[in-house]
Amino acid sequence: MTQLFHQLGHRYKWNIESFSTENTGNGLIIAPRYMSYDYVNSMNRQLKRNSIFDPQFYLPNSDRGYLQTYPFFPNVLAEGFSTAEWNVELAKQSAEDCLAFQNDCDFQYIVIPTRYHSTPSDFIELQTNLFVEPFLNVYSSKRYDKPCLLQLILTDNMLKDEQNRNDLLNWITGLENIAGVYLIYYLSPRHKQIDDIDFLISVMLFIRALKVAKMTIVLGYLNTESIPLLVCDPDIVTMGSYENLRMFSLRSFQEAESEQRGPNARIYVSKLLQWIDHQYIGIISKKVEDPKGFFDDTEYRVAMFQPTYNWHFSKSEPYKHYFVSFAREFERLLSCNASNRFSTIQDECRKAIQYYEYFDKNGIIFEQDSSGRHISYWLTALNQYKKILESE
Amino acid sequence: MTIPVKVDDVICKFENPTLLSDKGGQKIVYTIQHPEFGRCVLKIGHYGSMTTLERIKREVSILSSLKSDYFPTNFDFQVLDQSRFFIIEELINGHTLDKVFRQFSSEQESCKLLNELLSAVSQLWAQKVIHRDLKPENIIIANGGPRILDLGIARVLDETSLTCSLAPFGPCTPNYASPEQLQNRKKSIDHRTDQFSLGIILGQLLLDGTHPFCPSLLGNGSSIPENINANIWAKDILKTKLSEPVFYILQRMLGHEPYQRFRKVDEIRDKLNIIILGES
Amino acid sequence: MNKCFPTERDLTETALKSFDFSNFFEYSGWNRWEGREIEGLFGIPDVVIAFGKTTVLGKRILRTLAFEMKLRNWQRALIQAYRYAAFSHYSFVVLDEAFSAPALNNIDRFQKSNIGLITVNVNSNITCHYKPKFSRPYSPYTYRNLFSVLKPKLFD
Repeated sequence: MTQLFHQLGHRYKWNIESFSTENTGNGLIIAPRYMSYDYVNSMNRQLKRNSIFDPQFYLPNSDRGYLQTYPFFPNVLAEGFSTAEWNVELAKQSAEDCLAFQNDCDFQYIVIPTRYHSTPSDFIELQTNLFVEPFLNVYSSKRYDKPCLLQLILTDNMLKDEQNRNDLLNWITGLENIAGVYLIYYLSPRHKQIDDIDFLISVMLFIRALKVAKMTIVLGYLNTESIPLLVCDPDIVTMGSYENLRMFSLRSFQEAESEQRGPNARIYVSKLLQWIDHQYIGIISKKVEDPKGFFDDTEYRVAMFQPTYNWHFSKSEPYKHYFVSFAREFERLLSCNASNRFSTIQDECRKAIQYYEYFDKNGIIFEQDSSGRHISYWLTALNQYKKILESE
Repeated sequence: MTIPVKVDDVICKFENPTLLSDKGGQKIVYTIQHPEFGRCVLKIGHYGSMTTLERIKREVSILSSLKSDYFPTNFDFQVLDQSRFFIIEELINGHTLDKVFRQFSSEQESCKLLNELLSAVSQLWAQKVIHRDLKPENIIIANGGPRILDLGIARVLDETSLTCSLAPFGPCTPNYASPEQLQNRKKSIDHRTDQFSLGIILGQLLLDGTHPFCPSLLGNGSSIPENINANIWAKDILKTKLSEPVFYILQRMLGHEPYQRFRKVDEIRDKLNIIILGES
Repeated sequence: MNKCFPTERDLTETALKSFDFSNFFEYSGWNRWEGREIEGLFGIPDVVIAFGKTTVLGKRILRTLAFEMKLRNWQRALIQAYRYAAFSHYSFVVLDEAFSAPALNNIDRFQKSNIGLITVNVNSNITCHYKPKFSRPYSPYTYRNLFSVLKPKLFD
């Protein structure tokens, strides 16, 4: 059964509090960019057993945040990482220390890290030489009993092009010692919600191929497109607080957090399958019959809907409200039979579209990032994916 | 044009040499009477480079270390000169599978045979060796069960004898080759390549010897390799003919891309065992 | 060929010169304030004009008008102008008359959302095709923020 993990990052303590005290989700994905080596080491052991460590080697020469506290991080180990100078010895040392760390912390899985690389033509060779082969060699030689996940960051070109996708699938499924994949997809540029039908279908086909091969799939940095992706039965999907934890980007590994512009304050509305700008709350409340029933009912809503509430991205309430609302929605969707899941998710999408149509009829005009524009693309992707399955 | 391997100086050293196979002159097989090993097989071959020779030596060594009933015992291997070598191996008495398809036409019999063949080749796969030339002519049905011949050595031998028409492929028999072999996609070739060939053999068993990619069965004018490349096989015929579990195994093994096939041999064998035990 | 405004700025200056606020409410005696491209609200309105007065009973009354100026992209302008209704009593789209036909064909969208539609031509002729009704701003949070900025400027 699919599990829901928190994608940790900036303000990770909100996630940990929500997970620990409100039972939102099934686990955490630890982010060394934001959490120091000592902190992770000292974390509660039970918490770590329910977690996955993401080595975040995406940009191996990054010097951001707490990455520098990890002795096995490439930029630290090599005292300034460069591809040309990264040799077998360094790779082996990084592998030994990184895998030992993950094993000693008793995380659920051992993750083989990946480097961000945008060019499909030599992607497999580069990943194999840099990290995959050295790490897998150490994993095999140490005979760790934790199952191993291969992390991958795939761009839309890699997934949408059928030959590229097949090459990747052949490579991944041909690696004997891995139990599965920790997949992150990187679209650039992109809107806040995925509205590329071909891309969504290619992700679904990719997940499905790996599931048929009986591999574990962890999908990281997801926004609410995790909902349509549930039809593919991934093992773990994620929810993150800030947008950079719900849409993968390299910015946090290139810039300091403070250099990035703060987001507009938004609230997640499960009936709309969308985060809307908080400014629309008033007008929506005027138009719906039952405003209290429309917005997700959490203790945080009470605080946020006070007239004196100061909406700001540094406030925890919108994000904790999201964790609770989304976790509930997730459980509700998974509680139906697997055979009904497709139609249940399609129904969710249709209901959200109906709400947006109602609001449109009543004159509310949402800005693009609060609109329901993406949902019809999701429905189309779901319908086309279903047809592909039926034709097989 | 290839030059036949010189053999006279070799066979004269052995008693009763009887020509068994001469396919184009690069691989010549005799049966001989050996003073130590008795009646056995002598194969004389040609190598084109030191790399090729090293590969032959490695695979001979792996076979020898296997000590498996599924492969003929390797008795001797010698390098003759700068271009030739010979191998002496156990003579297996029996019929090649292509002559005895009908013995395995029921689902249970064919699954049992497939199970044995998987046991055999998985010993190679465990050593990171891929056969690459599995076909009925390379499988002897002996009293004790199937034996697989021409591991790798045939591949190496054939490599140097490829004609222009076969050059686009890697070393293989096109009618039993996987799509990645036919397209010479070397990076995609692994144990699942052999699985595809076994899938073809399974299909043949269940079709009383007819190749599942055979154009006359499919009603098209393409060749078998063309049908393999285009993923056109007797899917609909077999789907109606076979039970669901058997069809599922066959369909997966004939997956066009390696990732579509079974990832681990245990998965196939678990499914086969359910079929085999279920009917007994 | 119809002449058109070379830039949005030209459109803005002409529109504001010609706009008759008395069409909306009697503002004589009110204090007036004008701001351009104000940040920190909802969207960045091209122009906000605010009128304020304190009644004899000491009550402060504020009326805000927000304008989105666009040469031709009426759909984007409509989305922006609707955002401004979060903090303004009247919100308008102002288009170059030369490119206004598509918007006029969709005037029902403006009516539905109570967003004013005004066109201006290079001869300073201004036409109000849809006059929005007075409407309380729909985001009390942003309206409060705007009020606190305008308070010292408009009220004693």
